[in-house]
Amino acid sequence: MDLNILWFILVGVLFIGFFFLEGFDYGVGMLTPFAGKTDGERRVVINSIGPFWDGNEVWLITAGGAVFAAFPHWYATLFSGFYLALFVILLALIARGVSFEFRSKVASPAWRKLWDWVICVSSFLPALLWGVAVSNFITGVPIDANMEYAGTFFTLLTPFTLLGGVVTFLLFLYHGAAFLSLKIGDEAILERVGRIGRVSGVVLVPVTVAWVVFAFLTTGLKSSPVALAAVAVAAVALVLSVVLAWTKHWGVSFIASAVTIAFVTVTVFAAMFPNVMISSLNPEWSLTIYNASSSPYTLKIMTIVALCLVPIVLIYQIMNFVIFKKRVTQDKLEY
Amino acid sequence: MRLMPIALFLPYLANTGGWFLAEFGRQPWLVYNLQTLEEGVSTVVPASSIVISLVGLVLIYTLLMIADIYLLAAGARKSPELLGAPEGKEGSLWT
Repeated sequence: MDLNILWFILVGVLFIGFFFLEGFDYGVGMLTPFAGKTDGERRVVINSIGPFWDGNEVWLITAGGAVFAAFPHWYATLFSGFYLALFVILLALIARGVSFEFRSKVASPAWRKLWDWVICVSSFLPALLWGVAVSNFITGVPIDANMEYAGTFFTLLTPFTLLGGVVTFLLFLYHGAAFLSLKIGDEAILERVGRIGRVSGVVLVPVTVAWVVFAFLTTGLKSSPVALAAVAVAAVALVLSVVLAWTKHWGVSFIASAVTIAFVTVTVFAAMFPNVMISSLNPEWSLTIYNASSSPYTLKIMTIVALCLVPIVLIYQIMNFVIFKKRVTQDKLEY
Repeated sequence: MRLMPIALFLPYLANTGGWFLAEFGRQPWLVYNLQTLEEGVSTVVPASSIVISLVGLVLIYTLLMIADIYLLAAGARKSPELLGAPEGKEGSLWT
């Protein structure tokens, strides 16, 4: 296996890590005003992701960094072409990051309510836009012969990509509800997130099926055996997860929803392979893992560095989850 | 001691000054001796998008600065005993 394929897979793995981890904390963010009715309850909900959310976000930065270093043309085309969409995500992430901190600094109810809603909206926007973005990965976008994006912001918004946005929004909402069901020790909140989780799961299934059928009919999904296998695994895991949510087996349900997220991501990456940015104008203008990559020497150095550092990152992130594994209640907010 | 509050602003001045030096000092280069500012301008991103993002960033950072100054001032007015209060009370990070 050459290094170009290895780095394509590694970028995919980083996106899986990002969507799995940040998926539940976007979900928790969106649920904050609905899962918690009182100030104390909302604090419990936020504290359930308190030790994790910023570590989760690092996966996106790493994925972006890996794309930049391994496939600079992919990075350039993606970030210039999706400029405004990524800018909206950036604004949301800035607002989201500060609202967790600002919320507690003033005791006034109006101040706290304001930041609770900022958390909700700034979690919702990226949750929706990531689905739009990855849907565009597999449909392709107008890219000219010079590897440059030839559309506008609105070219990215089609019925299929917006449906993809609804899928990730519901998927992350559901995943977040499953996470809260495992992390909270407060009965009133558990009752609410359980209900939201079960209902959003039931809505999620048909929406996801519609997106997959749409993708099967209009994109390269059908010609990739790996993508087809991955989408089958994702479908089974999703249905299993929702059934387990209704029988209140949240632990296994959460694992199954994580598997769903992972395999939806595999589906997207497999469907575009060996392209990294598909041109909807002319297939020959697509960016591939070969014409968009760095030099073999750069890839080699990156491989050595990644092999040394990624295990360390994985170890400390897992340690973090083990240390903060207890359920959060109003009496035990700080572990 | 009465001069000390003025010192609060000195790190910000030094930091900003350093950035001005780095950014203006290397003109017209974007990457020194390799790429000029004009060569670095995106051919794909329209000027309107750049304006939108610039205005957006200036706005959000202005709002954050106002919120920060408000919180710092509110924090500075609190009595020192409250800052060391036990958890769950004022001064605790996570309540």
